Amino acid sequence: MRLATMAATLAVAASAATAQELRVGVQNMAPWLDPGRDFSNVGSQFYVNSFDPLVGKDNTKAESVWQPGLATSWTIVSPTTMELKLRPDVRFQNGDPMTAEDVVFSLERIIKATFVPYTVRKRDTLPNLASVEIIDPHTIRVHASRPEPLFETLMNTQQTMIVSKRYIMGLSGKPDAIEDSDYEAFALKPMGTGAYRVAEFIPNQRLVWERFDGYWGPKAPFARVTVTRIPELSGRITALKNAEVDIITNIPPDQLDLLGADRALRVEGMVTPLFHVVIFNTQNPKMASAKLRRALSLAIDRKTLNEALWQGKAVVPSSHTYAQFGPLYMPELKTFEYDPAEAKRLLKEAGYDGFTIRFDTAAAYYTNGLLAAQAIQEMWAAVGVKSEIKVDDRWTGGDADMMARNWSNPMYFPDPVGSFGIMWAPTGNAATEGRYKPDAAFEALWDKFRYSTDLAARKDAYAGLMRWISNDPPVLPLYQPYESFAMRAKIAWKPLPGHIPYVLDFRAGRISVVGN
Amino acid sequence: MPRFVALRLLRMLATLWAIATVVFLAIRLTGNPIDYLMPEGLDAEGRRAMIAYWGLDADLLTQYASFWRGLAEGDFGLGLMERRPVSEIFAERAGRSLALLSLTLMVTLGIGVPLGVAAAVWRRRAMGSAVLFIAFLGYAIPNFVLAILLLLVFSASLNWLPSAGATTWLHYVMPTATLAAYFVAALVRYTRNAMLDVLGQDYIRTAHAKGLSPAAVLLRHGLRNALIPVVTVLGLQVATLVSGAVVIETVFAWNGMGDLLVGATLRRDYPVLQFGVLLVASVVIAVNALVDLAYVAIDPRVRLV
Repeated sequence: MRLATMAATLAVAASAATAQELRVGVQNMAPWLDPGRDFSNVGSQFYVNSFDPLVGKDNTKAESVWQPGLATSWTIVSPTTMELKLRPDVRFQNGDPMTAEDVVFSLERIIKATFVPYTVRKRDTLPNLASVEIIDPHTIRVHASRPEPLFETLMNTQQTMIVSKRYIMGLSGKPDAIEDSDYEAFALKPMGTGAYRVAEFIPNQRLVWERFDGYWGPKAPFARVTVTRIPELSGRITALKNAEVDIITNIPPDQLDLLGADRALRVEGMVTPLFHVVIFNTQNPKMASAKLRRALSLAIDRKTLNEALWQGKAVVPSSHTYAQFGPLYMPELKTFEYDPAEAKRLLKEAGYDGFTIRFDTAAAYYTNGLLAAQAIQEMWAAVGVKSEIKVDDRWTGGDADMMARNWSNPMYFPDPVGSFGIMWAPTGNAATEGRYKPDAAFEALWDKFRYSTDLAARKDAYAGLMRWISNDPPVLPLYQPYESFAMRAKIAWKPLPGHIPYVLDFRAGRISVVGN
Repeated sequence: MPRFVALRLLRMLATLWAIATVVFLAIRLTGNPIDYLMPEGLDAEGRRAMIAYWGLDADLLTQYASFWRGLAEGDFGLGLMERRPVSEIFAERAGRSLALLSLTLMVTLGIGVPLGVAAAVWRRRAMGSAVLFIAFLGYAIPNFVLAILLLLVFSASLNWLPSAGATTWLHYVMPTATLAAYFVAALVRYTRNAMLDVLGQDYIRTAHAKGLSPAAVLLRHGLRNALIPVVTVLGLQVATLVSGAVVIETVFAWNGMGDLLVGATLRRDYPVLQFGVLLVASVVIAVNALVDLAYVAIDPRVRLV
């Protein structure tokens, strides 16, 4: 008994949270951290605390309200040129001053990428940017190839956060040259201008931040933040109840009541700017009929899926649109609907002969993914479509035999270009992988939408794109999932609607400890 | 003796070579890391560039040759996921996994053998039956169930022990207890049976007859002779222990070697998996060599020839 009491005392002493330290239990930790290169939901949780973009944003609001970031002001000099005034006296976390050379380097390592992982980001995020020019030590110009309506948006993305040229060059090989190995080394020792510096990073395991006292903005509220990977849900919940951690991530909806009932704990959640979707391989001859795919879309009762799987907390969209798009948020578009009678009619017209449709899904990658697939199988059966579920953790999006599968379409930046476009533009992921082929009409509409600097013209073109998608669907957004977090009752924190999905923002004003 | 050591070393190396080759082929024949690592939305050219970036564009023979060249030079390659030396990845994780395994082995020996002897000596008393019953429970309960029960009681309800991580000695209590439960139970049963065999032998009666104290008979004549099968079983159980640790490390968020190997298997992270399997195989082979040496220490009739 004495041993037990001693153990208890030690456990409590070891786990007592101070105002100085925040301890976070996450489901997954990233294998490397480089904001320019990263597109994953795991790494994206962390960058905002350690890196800054040129153009800042009020993340408490869903729509984009731009604020000074590492640039204090900017002007759109011409449709293809943006000029930015750099904030003076910004220091990197190693003490070096941030210079115009660093800014050019940060952007051009992607715009003019030679390192293969960056070339991928050039293609999907910054294809229209051509070069960056230094006007004077505190002024730069970003040049685009074609008129660019999204300059502010692009200068606010995770991919364009600013890094240090000198630091990266010195990480491996020759200290005055940029080599691929420098980028590899940087991804293991990330360093930026943000409010917290990475004090320790153990890939796939642990990330420790310490307050960066030389930060140009409001000082970080915690001296230290420890983020530990606790892969099992039960492990995360136990660690939280046992006060070993202060916040945990990835709580499925069925646990919310249980955790909410504990007075020592609190739950927070938000509908995430991300769609769980069903996609079709329009290039598989079996799936070529647009009528068949429309029927498959119309047969899915997404409202029931939401109520059964998400306790009604998810949001079923009428179109591929998010509130985060601001003026381009268009819930009035009715692109995707539920109409089983129409589905049956279309199936007859399509001449569906009863062949079995293969529906691919990962076992546990998407919350409720497998359950949704099983429910969809039943809904298709109800209109007379046979299907089989193939559970496989591999990505089969580029597989010519794939017919249908689940996927997610996150919002990478707050514009349809940064969500619908990343996946479904003529040069987007789906077309590049060869499972979807937009025609000339779609390409013309896309061109107008992507490069027009007139808002009304962009809205009109997007409505046209959605009509095209509705008539010949390669995708059906099911719902925007409701992502939940649990924390000790004394922690005041919540996910913010102005971020991309899953971001854990622990900067000043975003989190506080009650009683401190 | 030198001949024995040389032969034994050769056999160990041959075993390692066979294991490495089987693993090298098996992981390549059953999946491709490209399916897991490739960023979505790449065209054919992009895919080719990424495959070259991971060094997976070489044919099988070239990969096999460079794998052995690397081993010979002590360079085990870069992990495909983490893009840093495999030896560095393991250095961070192997220590705490090996500590857990060693601790479990010590607990198993320290508790299993005495309880087994007790169960044999008191075989006709309630105490002996009680020990056997508890051993039966430890043997029957799956380790992940026991882990969750312990978490529920000692972390979630009583808040006595930490549930996740491996930073203090308190973090070792529940994982060791969980992992040891099965092996203690197994060892109790083996020791008891071996002791019962030995205690029925003529030389035990002789030892009693010549007036030795019961403790001396039990330990010097009984236990020492019973230990040979017990040590053999213990050696064989080390491999099972490693696989048990994989589950336990996940439940207790240990971020150890088992967890690393499961992730590497799922994603076909060739360099990590190859190094990990070789490391585990080396541990098992080394333990078996120790078992052989233990025979010599326990039984004077055994010679190294």
